[in-house]
Amino acid sequence: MPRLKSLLAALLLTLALPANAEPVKDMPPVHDVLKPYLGKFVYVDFWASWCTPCAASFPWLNQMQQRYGDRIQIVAVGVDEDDTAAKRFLKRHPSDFAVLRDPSGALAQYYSIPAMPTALILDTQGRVIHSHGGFEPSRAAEYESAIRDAIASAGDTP
Amino acid sequence: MNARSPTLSRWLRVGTVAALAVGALLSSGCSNVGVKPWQRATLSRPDMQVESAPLQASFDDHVYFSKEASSGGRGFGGGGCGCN
Repeated sequence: MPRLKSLLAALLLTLALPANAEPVKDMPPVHDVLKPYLGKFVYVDFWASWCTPCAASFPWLNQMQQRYGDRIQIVAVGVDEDDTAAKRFLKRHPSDFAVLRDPSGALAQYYSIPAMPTALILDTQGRVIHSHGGFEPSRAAEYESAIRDAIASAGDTP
Repeated sequence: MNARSPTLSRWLRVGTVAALAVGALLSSGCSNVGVKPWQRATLSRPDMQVESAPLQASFDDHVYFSKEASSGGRGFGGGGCGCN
């Protein structure tokens, strides 16, 4: 009986793991699209025109670009399939940073982003050193602190 | 006193654990609905929401609350004491 119990407990624990968790494959640390930014710290922000918090994050991203743009590259990746909606969004929410389009979601899939928006900070070699899902203005100081920490770690990066 | 036989107790325990295992198996089936976070453009459209007219729903809730002296039952927080 104890053996049966432990067997069933192990089964339950296995089932409790997310069914869609994908094993880490042998992938290069940086996607081709972001290769031009290798050698710099990059703040990648996934956005979409239908995502309300994404709209709230754009003015903040502009601020970050102004403050840290010389030390970190901010890249916003739009995942809209609808080109018109994306253009309308960008017209309404002007950006002072680089904007890429990912209508197929290939880049989002590559980094398995958990939510919209999702922000990643990549080090100079393209490794993800920070990520957070969502954008809450009340947590902006926390996000900024992650940027500062990344910049501060520049000396430690091999 | 009607004590359960050891065999029955064992089967009950095995049955409970097996039911839990089956429950866990079934619940993991909902962990992936097939739509990734970046593919929710259609789902986020106003006409795809469970409540397509939030103002009307709020008005209905208020009427219900006033007439029945109770609230809740439609996802509204609060008790049914009529005191809020």
